[in-house]
Amino acid sequence: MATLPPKAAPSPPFANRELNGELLLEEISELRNAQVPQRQLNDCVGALKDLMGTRASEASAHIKVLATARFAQHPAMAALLVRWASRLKTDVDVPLLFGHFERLARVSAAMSALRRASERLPKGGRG
Amino acid sequence: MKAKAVAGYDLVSAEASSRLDVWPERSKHLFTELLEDAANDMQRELLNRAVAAGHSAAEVHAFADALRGLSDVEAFEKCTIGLDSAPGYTVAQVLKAEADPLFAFTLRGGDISPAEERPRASDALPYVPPPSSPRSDGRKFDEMTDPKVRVQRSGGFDVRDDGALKRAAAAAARELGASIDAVPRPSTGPSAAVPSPSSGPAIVQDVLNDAMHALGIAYREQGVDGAGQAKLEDVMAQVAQALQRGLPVPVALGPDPGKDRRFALFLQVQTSGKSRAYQLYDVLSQEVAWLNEGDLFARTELPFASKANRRITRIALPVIKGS
Repeated sequence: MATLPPKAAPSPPFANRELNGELLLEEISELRNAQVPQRQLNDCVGALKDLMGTRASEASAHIKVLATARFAQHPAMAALLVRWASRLKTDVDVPLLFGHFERLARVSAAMSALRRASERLPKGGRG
Repeated sequence: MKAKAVAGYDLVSAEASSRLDVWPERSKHLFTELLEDAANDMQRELLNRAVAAGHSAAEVHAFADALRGLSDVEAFEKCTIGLDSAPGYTVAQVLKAEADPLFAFTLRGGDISPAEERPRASDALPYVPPPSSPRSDGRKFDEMTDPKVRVQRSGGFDVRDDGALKRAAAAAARELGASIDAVPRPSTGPSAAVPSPSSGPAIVQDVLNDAMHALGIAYREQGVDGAGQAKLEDVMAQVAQALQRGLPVPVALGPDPGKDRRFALFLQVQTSGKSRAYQLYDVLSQEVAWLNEGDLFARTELPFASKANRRITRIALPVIKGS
């Protein structure tokens, strides 16, 4: 009986349970400290979307080019992209990487909004 | 990584400085935050000029919000007018617009909605009819860590574990988003709060939808567990569905229904059989914790340092097309 090929597993960085939890928060903090505007995150997500369906090697090279060409003025953003590009090992990592940056932009925007709205709560949301 | 220098009052012209001198400390702090949040030097310059023109802190705040989503070209285009391009304007208007970008912005049809009074939380909360989803009880997790021990890594958590793990996020560096001193601005237009029959004003929906608009996401806010409101058990299935789609879910925490005290954000969900565990992040205290759905439904305690806020009082659910 023919056996099915083993399903490709994501690389360890993409299988990390905290990929979209604590790691995500730390990355948002880095970007915030470097004063990377939210618009850059949104633009990044838009650019990465084009990579869906591409092979890991191709996506990795493309992201590195993207980092230097489009985000050169925001070194923190460029460094983050290059870091993740070098972690792409298998094709299943590509959509996970996109998902990570998508969440990065969404969570960052939501947190910004909640901080603003906290002022509407008693004690500025520290109650 | 070395952070860039924060823009501050050094960029403010003498005239703007003199205007700022008479602002209350709170407004000065807000303005500093707005300068920090501005996308670039051009936007900072526009804000400085708006201050110099004598606009109030609330107007400048609304102006900053309107500018933030614009590109350089768009911002410049919307904040300047010329007689050749707009012969309908009077010379006086053109001269005033040259000195006052906020005036030019409004003259060119820009909409700002400065808030003079902050909307407050109301006991009468919005009601959105709940879906008819079954209650999904998770297994009870025991507390593993003392809430005072907030630096422990949460590497060993599994949704099947009999314990909820928690830790504070890497503390001070996790500053994000706008100032807590920023004066909120109720929006008009598509992102404005949508009151429902039994509701008062929403607290976060307008600001949230402003922030998420560029990402194509909209939220609808609702109180939970209050009179005439959905039960928490009824909406958590939607929360899980949103998280599985990569959409964070903002919530308010408090001691009792209708008493919203803090904001937190559901980041992700893990499921194992019928059991669900959620990762929740307190935006201001920067604590992050995994908690079991059963603990959430018990409404007795949340795994954060502030024990008074023991339940979810309000949820902003993403409006998902087709759901």
